[in-house]
Amino acid sequence: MSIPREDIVLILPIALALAGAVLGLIADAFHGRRLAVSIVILGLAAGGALGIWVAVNEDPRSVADILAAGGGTSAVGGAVMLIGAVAVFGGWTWFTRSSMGAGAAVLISIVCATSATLAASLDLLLVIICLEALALSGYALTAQARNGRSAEASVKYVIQGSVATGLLVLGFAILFGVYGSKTDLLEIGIAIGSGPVEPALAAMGLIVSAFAYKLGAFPFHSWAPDVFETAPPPSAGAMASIPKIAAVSAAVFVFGVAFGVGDTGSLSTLWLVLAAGSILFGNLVALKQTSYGRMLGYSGIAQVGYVLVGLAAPQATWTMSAMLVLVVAYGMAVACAFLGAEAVRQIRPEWDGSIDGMAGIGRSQPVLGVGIAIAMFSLTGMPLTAGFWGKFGVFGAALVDEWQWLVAIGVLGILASVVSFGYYGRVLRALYFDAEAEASTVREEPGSESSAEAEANPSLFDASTDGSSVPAQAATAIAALAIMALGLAPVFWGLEWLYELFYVFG
Amino acid sequence: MTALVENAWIVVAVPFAIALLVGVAGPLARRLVPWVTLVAPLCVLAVGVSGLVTEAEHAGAVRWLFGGEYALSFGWAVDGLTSVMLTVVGFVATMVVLFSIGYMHGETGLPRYFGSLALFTGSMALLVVADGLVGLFVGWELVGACSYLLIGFWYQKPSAAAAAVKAFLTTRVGDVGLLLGLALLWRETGELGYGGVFEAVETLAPAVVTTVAVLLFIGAMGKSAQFPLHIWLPDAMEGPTPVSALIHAATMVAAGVFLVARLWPVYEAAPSAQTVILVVGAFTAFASATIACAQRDIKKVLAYSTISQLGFMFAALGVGAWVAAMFHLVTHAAFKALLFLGSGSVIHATGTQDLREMGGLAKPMPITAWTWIVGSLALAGVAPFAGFFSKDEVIHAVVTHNVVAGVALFAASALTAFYITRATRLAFFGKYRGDGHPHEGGWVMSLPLVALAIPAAAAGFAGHKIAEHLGEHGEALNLPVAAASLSVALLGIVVGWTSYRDGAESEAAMESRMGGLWTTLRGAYGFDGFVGAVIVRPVVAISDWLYGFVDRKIVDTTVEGAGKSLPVIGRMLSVLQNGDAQWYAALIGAGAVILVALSLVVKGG
Amino acid sequence: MNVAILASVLFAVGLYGVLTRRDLIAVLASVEVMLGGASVMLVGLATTIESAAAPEAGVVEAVGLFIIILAAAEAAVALGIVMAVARRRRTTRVDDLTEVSG
Repeated sequence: MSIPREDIVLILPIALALAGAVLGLIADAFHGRRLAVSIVILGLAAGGALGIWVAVNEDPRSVADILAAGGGTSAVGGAVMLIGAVAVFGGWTWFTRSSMGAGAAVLISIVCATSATLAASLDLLLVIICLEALALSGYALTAQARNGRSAEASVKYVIQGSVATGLLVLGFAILFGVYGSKTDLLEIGIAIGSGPVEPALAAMGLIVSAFAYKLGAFPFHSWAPDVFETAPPPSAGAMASIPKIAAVSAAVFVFGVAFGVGDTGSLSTLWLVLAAGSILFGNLVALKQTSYGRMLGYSGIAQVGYVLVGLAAPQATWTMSAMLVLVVAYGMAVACAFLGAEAVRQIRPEWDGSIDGMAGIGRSQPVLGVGIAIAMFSLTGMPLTAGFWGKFGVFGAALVDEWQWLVAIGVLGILASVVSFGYYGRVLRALYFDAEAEASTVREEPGSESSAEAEANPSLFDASTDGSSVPAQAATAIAALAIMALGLAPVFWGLEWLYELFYVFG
Repeated sequence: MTALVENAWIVVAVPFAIALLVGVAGPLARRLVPWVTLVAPLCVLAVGVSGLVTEAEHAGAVRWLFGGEYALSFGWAVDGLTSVMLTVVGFVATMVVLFSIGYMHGETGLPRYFGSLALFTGSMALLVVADGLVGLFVGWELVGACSYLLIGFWYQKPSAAAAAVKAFLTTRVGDVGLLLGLALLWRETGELGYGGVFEAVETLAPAVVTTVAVLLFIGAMGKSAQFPLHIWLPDAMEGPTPVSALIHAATMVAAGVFLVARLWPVYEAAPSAQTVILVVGAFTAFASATIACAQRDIKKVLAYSTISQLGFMFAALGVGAWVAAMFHLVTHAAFKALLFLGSGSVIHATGTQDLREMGGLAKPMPITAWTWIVGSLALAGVAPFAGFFSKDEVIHAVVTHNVVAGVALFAASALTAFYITRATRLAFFGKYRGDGHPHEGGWVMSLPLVALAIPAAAAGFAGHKIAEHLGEHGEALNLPVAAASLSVALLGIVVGWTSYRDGAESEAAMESRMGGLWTTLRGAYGFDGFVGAVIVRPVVAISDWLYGFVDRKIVDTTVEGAGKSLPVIGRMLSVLQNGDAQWYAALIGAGAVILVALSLVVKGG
Repeated sequence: MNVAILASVLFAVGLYGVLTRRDLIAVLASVEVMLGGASVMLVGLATTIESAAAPEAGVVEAVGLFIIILAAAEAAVALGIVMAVARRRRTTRVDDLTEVSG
């Protein structure tokens, strides 16, 4: 298969990100940490910008029958890379100082490239390879903090992830074996249509389970709170956002195309059950959390629930777009939230990761406070933020449907969004209304001496990585601006403009 | 002048721009901040007055449509109702900003304060000029957010921070109803612009219209603090008094009334919904008036009074007299804002909010005292002050439709006269019981008081004009009802005046005589505690349970049940036989089994 | 059909091991068994079930190889992490990994 010249630009974004990763890896091998991280950021930024350009200027079509590009798919890929660029930039202090440092940045770049590929895959085998690559990168990124807690969380992640991988491969095995050894999604779909349906249904259940695990939906969620509490914030922000966006985009193709043909109506029921469970569980347990990272982990479960409502809804014109807007908005907001945490960590080295420990930051660091606040508002669905438009489209589609369970879960989603202010608001209260426990000074100069044993160190992560909070604050601000830009754009250019940007079908 | 009306969108844009400017650049030019802020409400006032004078009706839009099922517009429309509201909001807001210059002198964080005031003004304007429910909803949420910011202005006080959260959450609960109403409306009609909605309502089934009307009213109940969503308003008194005057007396709480009035064709088609509104309004009016009688804090008296007066307005809406309700909204805005600012003047001068520590303030603070008395008489409904006329219309309308509600309103009027006289007597007459040196607050504080006293006194005569602007004709004064309500008011005043001859000792005597009743009233019938026990605690408990049970307890029980062979290597932690991660992995496996079974069994969706 | 049963048994055995074994190395081995079961399922079904269009030559083998490579990559990374844990916590027993919870 050869790629016609005019189509090369469609895969260029992914190539740029990968190039950044490879070059960064080489630079890091020669101990040029700052150079490596800069290269990674450049590669991701260039890839992301190009991806958005492609999204706006090229119609959706397939490249070499194996990748989708142009239109919404490139927009998703571009968004993913831009989020990655901001996350790596925000973690500059961490990545250039910690021992694994630049390697983690390279990994994030690989995560972005893989995610963009995953979002564009039209072949089931490619989907599986990308999911696996994301999983492995995730294990490594979780373990990067080089302390006992993070190693433990990573090992638990491995155990759970391997079960999910097993389910995914088993499902694929059934599809491949029964329906004529096909790996292309469209061909699989056609084959299912003309063959027995039960194996496909069993395989569907398995593959839905694997996707649900990757997204962190209930009851496949258990890896999320541990990972987001123990991974260093910039990486946690990347891991919480990028793979989820890609998985949702891939789900549109995998389940829309491969399982769209034939009698597979129960698919919507599966998504709806997962959505209901995730919304309920995620919101209720998040209310209980005192750790910022864990709260974001559990709230992410709820947000996935909202997205799954979109998957359960029939494919009206803009429903899939709205769902992608929702998950991209979530990705931006959670990355912003974690980058804000990184900034807090640099400002207060003794921070224990709790929400109460963030007291007063909003007053002493106004820009940072506003950035985190915008992220919280977008997550709860406040109008004029990007998150609102996503929820608006998804719940709107759910509420006008005839299937009463879908309507009911749509209502549940709206109620839950109201309730979610209970825990997002707690962050705002800590930032602005709580008194600071003890005075803390902004750290601008390089960090203190590192200590022998990581667990004995009062700092949440390795103290030698303490340093300037400026990159993290700047990154938080950039992410928050992007959230507001996407939130305000529909006011000026119409909601259609936003949904059309993320329209994937060509 | 017509140019102002034709570009009415500036009532939103200018205040927002000023809010941004003041909030960001404020710390650089602190002196200028309040004066720059003043431009925002003046702009709103100018447009409102232009609208009234030119009697123009104009609409414009930033329209967007998108293909297929949705059609939305983000536009604005000015008509009589809008102009009236804009004038009220603009005037009161201007006075409040001016008053704040004196009241908040010396406080820190003033750019934040004035910026929030400007933002609020713009948001309220947005709510009012929106040409559809979407724009209204955006404004609705924004005023809620501003209210949160301003109540919690003195965030170092835990009670203030808690009050801000309580206000936000309670109104959010009401907003759920509003959202559901919007969703239902859209689902059934595909319309959210006012014009489209009014047309579509005629073809809808009555059950649907009623449901929409009730759901939207629930939103109004939250914002306008009607029972049972009233609990946030008394706590909101933690905010600075000018804020209470603007937001919690005159404008934001009136948004609920405005909503029903704006959507009148919907309510006209839903008589059962009107009944609900009538019952809620009349009940709230009466119950709240009883609570106000026993409050020691001057601001709490006014807060419960506001809740009660809003109840009057809703009762009027409940019998179809929306013009009367709007008339009362206008007069109430004037005299309630006046009373709040007056209380602010008193608080500023004496350093206390407790009525028992005031007294005899009429001498050192004549302007405050006299304007306060004008406001009180207006509130009590004494002719020829504004409240007399508007209350008369309201009561007349209610009593002719529903005797029970009418009686409740009469009783509430009597109590209103009583409690405001009580407050007046305790604060301004008798001997001064406090430690401070009371004095007037300077022209920036006195001017607004006088300026508000004018409409509080005279707006009653504008009733016909207001009605005309709203598209109806005014009601003539109904003599029997007027006479009855006037006598009831005078009776209340007399009782209040004579009961509180001895200042604080009178209050103590009243307490001992009324005993348990007085304490119950002061505690607002213990409703807050009820809400806490019945609603807040169960939700927290469910959250605890889920967290503890699913993520912890199950693991413990499975482990203990499965029997142990524990390698004890020096750790005293609970040793899990299977290990957390494997339990999680088991969850994954079980989930997969369930999903596979589901997909095989469930067909069709 | 027999192939499917064999593969399912393998998968189930592997899954059981992952869920119940107390040593991390044993858990990783069970993962391999699980993935082996999936591979057997894939190759077995593909070669024994007749379908409308015959697959291209070598497709089944190639895909089977992909799965093996996937499993190997996963094992490599997993072992690296297990080593990190072993170094920090001086144990490879699952029971001793209880600090991160809630």
